[in-house]
Amino acid sequence: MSSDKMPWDLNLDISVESQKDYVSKTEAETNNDIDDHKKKYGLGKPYRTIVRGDVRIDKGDVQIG
Amino acid sequence: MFGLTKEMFKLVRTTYLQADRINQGDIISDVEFIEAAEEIDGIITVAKIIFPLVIVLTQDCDLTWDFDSRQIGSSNQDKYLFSIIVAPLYNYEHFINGDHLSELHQKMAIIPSKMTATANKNLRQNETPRYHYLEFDSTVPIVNSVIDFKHYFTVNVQKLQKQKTEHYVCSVSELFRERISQRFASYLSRIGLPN
Repeated sequence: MSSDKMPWDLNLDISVESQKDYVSKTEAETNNDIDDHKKKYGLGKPYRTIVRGDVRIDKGDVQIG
Repeated sequence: MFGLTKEMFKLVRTTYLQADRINQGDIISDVEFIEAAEEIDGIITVAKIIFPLVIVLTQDCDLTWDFDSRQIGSSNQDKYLFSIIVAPLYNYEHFINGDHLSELHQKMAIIPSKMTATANKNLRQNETPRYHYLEFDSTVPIVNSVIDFKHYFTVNVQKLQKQKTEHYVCSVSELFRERISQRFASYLSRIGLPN
């Protein structure tokens, strides 16, 4: 990863849904000694997700003090 | 020896704690690490890494004090923590292949899969300071895993507390968690020498 770029500038083609469901099926199917729970909890890899949104608040809505 | 085999001693003991609070040694799934956040002209962008499993490393006494003082609403907030130290658990099979961070586009060191190879043996016998290898019994829904002490991070107390209510997996039992804690402290306090 380039150290001078922010995560959202990396253009990594992030697909949140596909990464959320990531399970190495081939590995799970061949590894017979692990149960379904282990497939669910044990085979995932860390993944990155980027969230972007408008958080602008009208001045009239802001309460101070 | 009372029906215990050598293999059984390799397994880390775990418990399922009913306690509401976060405990040292808790294993929690799907924990978010806020990698970076930026606000420009009212548009906020947040980059997060979601770790499938993490283990809590903060000292248990600190966690107890934090929880208790929040519960009783004490007159001062002296015992409050800002965040809790956790470290990720990586799937052993991914780990030795060096591809456990492939979704983050990071290539990691490869460790020989042959169990008699020195690097593999050192990893599994917890003789490599950076890593802690864990094998769970069949009742625990976690595959053989490796904690990477270099990848520790912190999570906001309330955020992790909330995460635990839905994503608590189990807790590593006291003796085993103390060993993890001691190895983590030792790794962090190592004296770095120049190459």
